[in-house]
Amino acid sequence: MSQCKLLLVDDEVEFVNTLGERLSMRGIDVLIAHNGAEALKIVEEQRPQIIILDLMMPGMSGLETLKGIKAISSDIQVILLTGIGSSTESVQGLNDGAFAYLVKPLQIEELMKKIEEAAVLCPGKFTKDE
Amino acid sequence: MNNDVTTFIGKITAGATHEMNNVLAIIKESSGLMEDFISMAKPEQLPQRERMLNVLAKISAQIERGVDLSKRLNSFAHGVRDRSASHELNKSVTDIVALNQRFARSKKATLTALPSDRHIYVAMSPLQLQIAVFTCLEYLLNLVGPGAIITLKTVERRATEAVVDFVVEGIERHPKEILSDPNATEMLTTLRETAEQTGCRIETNEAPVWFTLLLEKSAA
Repeated sequence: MSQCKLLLVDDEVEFVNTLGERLSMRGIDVLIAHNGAEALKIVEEQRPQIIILDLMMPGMSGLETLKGIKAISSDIQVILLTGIGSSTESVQGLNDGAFAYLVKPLQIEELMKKIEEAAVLCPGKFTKDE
Repeated sequence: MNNDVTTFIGKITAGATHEMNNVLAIIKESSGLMEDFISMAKPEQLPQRERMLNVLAKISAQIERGVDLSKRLNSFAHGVRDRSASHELNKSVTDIVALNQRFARSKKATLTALPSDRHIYVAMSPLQLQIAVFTCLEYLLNLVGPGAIITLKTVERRATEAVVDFVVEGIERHPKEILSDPNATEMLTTLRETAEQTGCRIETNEAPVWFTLLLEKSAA
């Protein structure tokens, strides 16, 4: 997929870097942030169309970051990542405008499916480049 | 147990299981990335391709096992801190069975849960139920020999009562012979006392249901 930027936000450096590499191998233009503040800066400057956002981050939480993202642009589609025991926050995230949520550890096929579904809603849609 | 102690244990365990889940997520992505690399390589570049994929499949299966355990341990940790007087029986029993597999294996026994197909709510805290079921299990595992198959079956018996049946199969000695042993009788007395302290009762039965834990039902 190309013509669309995806931002990955998670404080677990090894997780986000490895997942980023896997998504890049699938033709996605991936940006990476390790906390909420860094994510909002990238959103302001580079306007990704899709964001994969961890809910449980130190400092600015995932839900706070989601509100910040939606305040910058409500068109950005946000897929939340939750760990175990975070179902209340996931539901809150959906109420706050998130597109979907997935539970860690991820199934890459399931994540790709959600990204494709979110891409349909993006103003600058993803196109398959394979 | 003191509320401060249980809250402390619950908080520490919940935090640790969350971290364990993150560790498993990183291992899963790393193993997935390795699989991606292997799938990109030409067959002549990787003569050991199938063997490598088999190893990755084993890693993947163990990750799933670890994730299941962390989820159940996390649920247990939240249960320890939960002071509510009502909760769902099937989930608690299934979690306890999953978390006690190691104890069963050490006695060369097989432990399974057979939950009811309907939600059953019981009038006791998750911790009280966990203590009651665990004590019964420990008692059984100490009595039955290798090869025993222990099944915990949850049943809605009456409008006001739910039960957990402890079914034992696959053993050579007759249950009456095992239960008539003085040690077994003494342990059963202790078991009854523990059950009463946690707000439930024990009823002895004919094999294969060795005994039944009787619990008061509650509204959802």
